[in-house]
Amino acid sequence: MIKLHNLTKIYQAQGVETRALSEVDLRVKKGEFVSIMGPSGCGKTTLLNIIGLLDSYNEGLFVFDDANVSELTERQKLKLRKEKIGFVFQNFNLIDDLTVSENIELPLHYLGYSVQDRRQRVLEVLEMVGMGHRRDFFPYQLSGGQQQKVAVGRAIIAKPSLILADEPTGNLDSTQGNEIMEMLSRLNDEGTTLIMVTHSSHDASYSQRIVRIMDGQVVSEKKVLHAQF
Amino acid sequence: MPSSKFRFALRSLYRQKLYTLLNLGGLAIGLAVAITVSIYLNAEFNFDKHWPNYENIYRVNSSFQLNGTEEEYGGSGAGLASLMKEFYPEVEEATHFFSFENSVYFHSDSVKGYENELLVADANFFKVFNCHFLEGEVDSSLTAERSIVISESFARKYFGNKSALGQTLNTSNFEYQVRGVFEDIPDNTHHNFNAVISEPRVASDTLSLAVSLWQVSHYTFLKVPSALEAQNVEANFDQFFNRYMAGMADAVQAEYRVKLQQISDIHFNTNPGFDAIGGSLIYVYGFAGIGLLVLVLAIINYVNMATARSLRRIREAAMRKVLGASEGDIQLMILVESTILTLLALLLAFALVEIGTKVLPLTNAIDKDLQLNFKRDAYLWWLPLVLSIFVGIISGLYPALSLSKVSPLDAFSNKKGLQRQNNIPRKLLVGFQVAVSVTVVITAFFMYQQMDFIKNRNLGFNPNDVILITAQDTNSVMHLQEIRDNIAQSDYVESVAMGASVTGRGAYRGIFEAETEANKGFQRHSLDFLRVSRDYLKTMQIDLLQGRSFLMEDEQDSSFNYAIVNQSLVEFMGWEQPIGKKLNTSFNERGEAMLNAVVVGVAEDFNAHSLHTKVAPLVLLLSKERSRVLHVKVYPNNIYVALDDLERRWTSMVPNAPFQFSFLSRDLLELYTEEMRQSRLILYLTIIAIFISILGFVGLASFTTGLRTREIGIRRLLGAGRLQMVNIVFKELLWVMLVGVLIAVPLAIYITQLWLANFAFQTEIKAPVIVGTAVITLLIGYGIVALHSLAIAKKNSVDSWRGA
Repeated sequence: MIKLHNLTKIYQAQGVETRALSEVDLRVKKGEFVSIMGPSGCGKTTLLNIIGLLDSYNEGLFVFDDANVSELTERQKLKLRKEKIGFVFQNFNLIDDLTVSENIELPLHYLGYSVQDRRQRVLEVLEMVGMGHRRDFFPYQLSGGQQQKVAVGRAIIAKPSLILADEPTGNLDSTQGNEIMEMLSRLNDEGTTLIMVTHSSHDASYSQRIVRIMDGQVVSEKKVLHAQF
Repeated sequence: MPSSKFRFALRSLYRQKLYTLLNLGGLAIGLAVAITVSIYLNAEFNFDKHWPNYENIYRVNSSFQLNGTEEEYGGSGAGLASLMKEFYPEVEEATHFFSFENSVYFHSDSVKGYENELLVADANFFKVFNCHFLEGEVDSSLTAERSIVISESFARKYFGNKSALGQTLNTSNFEYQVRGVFEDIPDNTHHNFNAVISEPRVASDTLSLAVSLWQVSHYTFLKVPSALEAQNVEANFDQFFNRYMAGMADAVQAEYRVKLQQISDIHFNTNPGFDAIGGSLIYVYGFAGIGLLVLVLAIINYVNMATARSLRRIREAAMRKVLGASEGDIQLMILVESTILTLLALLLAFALVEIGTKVLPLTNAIDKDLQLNFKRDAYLWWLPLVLSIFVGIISGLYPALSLSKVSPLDAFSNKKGLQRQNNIPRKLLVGFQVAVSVTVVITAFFMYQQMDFIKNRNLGFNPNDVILITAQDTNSVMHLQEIRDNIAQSDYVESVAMGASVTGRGAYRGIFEAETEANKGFQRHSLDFLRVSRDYLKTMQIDLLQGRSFLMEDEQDSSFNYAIVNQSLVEFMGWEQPIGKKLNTSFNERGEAMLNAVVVGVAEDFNAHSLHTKVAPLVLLLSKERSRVLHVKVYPNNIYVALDDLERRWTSMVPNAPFQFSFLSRDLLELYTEEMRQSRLILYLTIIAIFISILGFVGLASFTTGLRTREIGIRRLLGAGRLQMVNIVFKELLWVMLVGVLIAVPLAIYITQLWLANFAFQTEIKAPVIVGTAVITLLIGYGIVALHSLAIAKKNSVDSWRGA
């Protein structure tokens, strides 16, 4: 599904070049759950942004679902993003003035769903993330874990094939964090590809593969051995 | 989507109550002011346009040529209307009327009261002025003597809900029968009226008609098919003149022309001689200007605050982009939201106007109906709407453009607002705002001062403690001399004099033959004159410069007439030896002067007219008859006791006549109602302008301190004192205010000078006022900044430097 080859990202600020990513090679297959780990400032988030078609890169090849990203126009990238990618953030990024169900509904507006379909789909998703009883609450009335559930709901409403999560448990306590991780891995079980940036090896243990990055380079890749039940 | 957008907009408003209050409130006030001013302007510019076929209704103004000078009057002679209708086939209808100078006491069976705005008109009045009759017949309403046609509200006052038709209304002397009731006419009517009384029928012979055509006593109105016919009437007046007026022309040695003025043109082009009080374009433009400024201030304010506020939504915009919103989606969202907000402000503005005009003494203060009336002011349906949408788009434009360009990557960062460099355009706008409001304040101050100056100007006579008693009926007029003598004996009275009219409220105008200095015979001039009794100069405290006052013997001397002239007349005639000069007036149809007077004294100039006009040459004729008004100067300490005594003496002399009094100083203020009304309006507008500017500054201050919250927190952590912190923020805003003030001061002086140029007597432009305004402006600015920075400093500094 995702193929990166020799991908390089350089930031230029006041004449100083910073190599955020240097010749990164990475493949993610459909249905995989990959964790990206590494110290602060190593380029994890930059990588995630590039994969999410939010940021550009300088060199190398990036193929997303058989499409060479460097050949896509902005409009095509926007279309690809809103149809195929869902995002989950560390700080949830819910919109304060919208209720739970409105926040979840938001992506469908930009996909041109009818009112009927939107309503139907929101009900399904509310059920899936277990926030039906809080549908008319505002984000500031919810706990962090609940907010993140809403954010996950928003990420999956358009049935994306890929979910990008940037430290989804970073602002949560361990109980709430586990709930979110359970939710994400359930999505993965249902076939959604997941790429997650994380600091926590506990969270990473939910994934199938861990990619370690340091100073913009992939230093190791290893499979996670799941405990058998 | 639109409905959800509306819901979201409302919701975010509710969550930011203070911001909403300041921002929407400010805009709503600005809009409310603009709406109110527009109602006022609309009324001013549509004077008399409510009459059906107003473009075909013309007033006949008179123009006299005498000794090479031309004088114009808004009025004309009695009888002109019917003669013109007869003479000119193109005149469809013609009417004449005059208006009562003072209020008249009316009583029905159960109700009594004083009424203003009464006209006495001929039977054709309502054929020219098409009032909507609720009761009675237009054609027959004024044909019978002692008929009265009254307005709907007049009828309601005296007869309640009963039919007024056929009822009787009494004045102190007469009984009138109500022959019609018309729907109230709008206030913006130049010759306004609440009731019309049929004119008494007098047998008119050709001779008296010939004389009356030369005397300005009535207003004549014609109805013609079109402007072309009006021009014809004016152009062919020679034939009319030759037929009816030429005979007297030789006798008075004057020429006479008519000038036709369309009724809707009268209000702003009133005639200095003989006219009702009109409007002033200077003031109207002044209001329009200040109203517009207030609106512009409010809009700038709103745009400023909305922009500043929207920058807090960078993360939201970024997030929406992550979720698939295009630039267009974001722009549309912001524009829709901001337009919804301004429409809300508009609703609020209408509510403010509605409540404001009812609760505030506005209508009273400026004596104009400013209430919302969508039927009368049809533009209110669309103009404010268009304006609000425009403001909505303007205020949404910058946020829409900048937010739509936000990178979706910002969703990941913790940035909460834009960085400081984006502050400059906003500072410029607020600088402009400071400049505008300082200009308005300084200008308004001097306008107010000028009004005050005019009001308190020395008139040349002293109106204080002068009680006026007006004789209303023939009986009291006949006995006025004896009443005067009786009142003069009162211990409370310092001095008393009779006059044919109220001093200071205008003079009569007549043609005089005045003896020249070098024995070169007589010159004819049209001069102002007053008819007064002895003790007049003493009562009014007018200085006598030469000669003597009128004496008791003069009053008893039936063989000769006496005159006192003012200093201006002496200069006008070039008299070196004014005492003993002869003045003749009151010519009959053979051109013979019926009144021959000799000058016995010269008085200091005083303002016989309102201060709108300069002092002109004036003759005081000793009056032996026709006096109507007693001027009673009382000792200042016991005015109310004095009044009781005056009433007792009046009633003992003429028991059946009502004792009607007023205070001269108050009567004179009525001459300046328009000015007082205007200065009050200017005051209100200024207060609002200041208020809105303060709002704008609060917005900027909160924005600036908001941006520097983190810095303030860190400084506080490092031990900075409170005052130091206020100063840090204030320094950044100080130059904004200084630039504003520096622009404002010369601008204000320029505007003030421009405005003052319209007055003969001008107040001074004083530096302390200007410096004071500037200093107060800076102090207010400092106060606002201080409040904001201190509030932030008080908060936990750990929160602020972490930028949370």
